[in-house]
Amino acid sequence: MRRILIPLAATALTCCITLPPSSEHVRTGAPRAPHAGEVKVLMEGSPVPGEYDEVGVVTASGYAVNATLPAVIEALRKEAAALGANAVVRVRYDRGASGATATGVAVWLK
Amino acid sequence: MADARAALLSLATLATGCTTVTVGSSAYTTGPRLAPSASPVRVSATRDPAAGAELGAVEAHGHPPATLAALVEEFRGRVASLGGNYGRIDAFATRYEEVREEYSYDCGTTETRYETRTDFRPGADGTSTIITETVPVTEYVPKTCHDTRWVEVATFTLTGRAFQVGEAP
Repeated sequence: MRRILIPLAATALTCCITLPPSSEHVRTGAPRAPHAGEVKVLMEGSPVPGEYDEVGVVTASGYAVNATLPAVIEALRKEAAALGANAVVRVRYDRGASGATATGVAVWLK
Repeated sequence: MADARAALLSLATLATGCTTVTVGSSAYTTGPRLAPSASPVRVSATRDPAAGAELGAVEAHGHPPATLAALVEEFRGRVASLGGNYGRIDAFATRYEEVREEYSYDCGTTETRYETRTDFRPGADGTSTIITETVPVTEYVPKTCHDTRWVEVATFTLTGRAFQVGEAP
């Protein structure tokens, strides 16, 4: 029994650890077509240059090996691009012992 | 992507035996007291309304697997409860905490006992012999054990303000 359970447990653990960061959004502005270009990321406290249209709120979370700033910010950028944004502003990053979350406002910089 | 997180969180929920889905909110009136509004509530994370009365502060919070959409909906509901039709999200934050939780697990074991068994065995000459023997019988004995462990819980919070824009509904 142990010969079966240990590899199963190891597989399950590997599966969870290697799950990519997840992301989601709530649209608060007008719908836009997905954006294929660069998505700027401006962390909380950074001034937003010029005029912009708000698109939505985006958030991304990573666990274990994906609980890192690069991993969750990259997921945040992809979520914002899919929403039609070319920037994410006011990005806040929070880190726990095993998880990390980044949340920001997806905008279209004019 | 949201599906992957929901799946992971569901797995965690199953493993911990905890099925709590928590979304909550609160509000504090700082302006005119209005009756709750049934109008749609517009939400912005970047701009105050051009004109309108500020009604109060609003917060919505939740633990996974509650989604961002569920929190924003809760936020809208609180804005409406103050009589508002415009919600401004001023800040968002995720707080991670280590909490001790109880969990149960199967700790059943297999046990072997010996039973006496009597068999009739036919002989070649047509007679039968009665044989009594002791045989091992192994069976699973179910048992549920309880323990506690530390788990990390994330709480996502939206804070902002409620406004009443235009004519009161």
